[in-house]
Amino acid sequence: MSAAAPWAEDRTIAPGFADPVGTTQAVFRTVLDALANPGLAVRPPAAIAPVPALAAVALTLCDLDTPVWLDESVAARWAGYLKFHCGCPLVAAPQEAAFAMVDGFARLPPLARFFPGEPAFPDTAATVVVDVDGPPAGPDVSVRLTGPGVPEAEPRVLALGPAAFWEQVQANGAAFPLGVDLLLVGRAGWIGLPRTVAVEIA
Amino acid sequence: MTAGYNFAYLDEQTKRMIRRAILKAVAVPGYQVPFASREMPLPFGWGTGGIQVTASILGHADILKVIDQGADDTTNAVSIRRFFARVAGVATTTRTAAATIIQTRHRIPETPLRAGQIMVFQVPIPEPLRWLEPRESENRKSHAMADYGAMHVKLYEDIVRYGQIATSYDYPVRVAGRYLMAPSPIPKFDNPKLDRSPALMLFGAGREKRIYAIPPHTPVVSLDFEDHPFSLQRWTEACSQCGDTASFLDEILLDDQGNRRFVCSDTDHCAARQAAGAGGAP
Repeated sequence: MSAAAPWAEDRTIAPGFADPVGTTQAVFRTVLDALANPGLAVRPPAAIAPVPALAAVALTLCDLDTPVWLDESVAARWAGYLKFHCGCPLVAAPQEAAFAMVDGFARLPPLARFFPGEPAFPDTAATVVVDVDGPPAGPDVSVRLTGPGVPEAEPRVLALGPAAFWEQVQANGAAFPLGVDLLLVGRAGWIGLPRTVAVEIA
Repeated sequence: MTAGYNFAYLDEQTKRMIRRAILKAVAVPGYQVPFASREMPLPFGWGTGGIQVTASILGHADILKVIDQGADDTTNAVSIRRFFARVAGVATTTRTAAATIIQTRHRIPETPLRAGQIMVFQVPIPEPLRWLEPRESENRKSHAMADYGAMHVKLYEDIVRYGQIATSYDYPVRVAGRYLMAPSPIPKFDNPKLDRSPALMLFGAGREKRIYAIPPHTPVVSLDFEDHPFSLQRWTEACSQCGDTASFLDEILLDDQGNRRFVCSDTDHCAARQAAGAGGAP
């Protein structure tokens, strides 16, 4: 019998990227592509494996300057990881966050609870990252997206996310230049929904 | 290859800060995002804003082109291209079509850009209202309220004084119907290339510490009046090297007798036409 000493319990923190410089650059370009082309599903680099998408975004964009809000499920699994790898402050209130990491539409707070920026500084608005492979909040609906980044002749069509979510995205866009920017990450690709996106729910 | 430096010169913390600014710039097209501009190994005014943006987006797979007034072979362009070849080890090119990132001072290439390319502009004065109102605090309010009457008055005064809008470069534009934006000192000849371009346009002002952007396929309108519509300058001459009459031409004085010659400002465009057999105007 070998009773494990208390300090021998498993406290290991999963590793970050094997090549932090190269992979964060590739992840950034994926996010940039996604936000510059709203509604387009952009493939993230294979090199992020085995880091899941939400953590990959955090490793790329979050540091001591960015207060981060995590939903309960993400917090339970990744709070220690993000504190160690990003050194980012974790905040309890969504409105204090520069970045929010959410696992599934079901756990997404109302978008109005995130900071939308201020008229003189709309760039201070939050960026909300949602893992769309997480728990759903309702049946997916079909939407038609237009706006800057979308060719006028070819609106982008998505069948993703519940109607209540898209209604919030519409309200978010109505406050332009204020509003939060969304990044939907999932196995099918990463999709950017900046505040400029105009949504028509089918 | 990149010994002694982090990849692309900047440290990772700085890149993250600039990357966050770029993402917000893309989300609010035409709005100037403040960022903590760093000192670079060349002085402000030599393209430090553009260099910081390029350094933050650049990856191993990118192919970089750098132009200065359309030319690949001028001091600024050569220095910046060599800088990135040295600190990032990336491939460089002079061919517009082959490049994934094009850093530019004051021109947009004649060759149409394609989706997936990124233009990085070096910007001296990002604030279009600066010469009308020097106070940053007031201009910030004007942008917040989309109050751009002063710029229209300025263009109107041009018409009263000269009979036409005399602004020929850094011609103010409205991005996606909202923000007034300085397109950097590109000739107004290039303004139409900003409108609904398939390429992403990023603007970096190092001394002024601002980053702004135009996403692809975004409407960009040059300010004008119904009875004085925006118009482009035209030349009666053709390029003396390749004979082109449609590209932006530089005027070169040849002697003290006033003899002059015109050549394409875009050296890649001109060289490609010559290689294809186009001859110069006599």
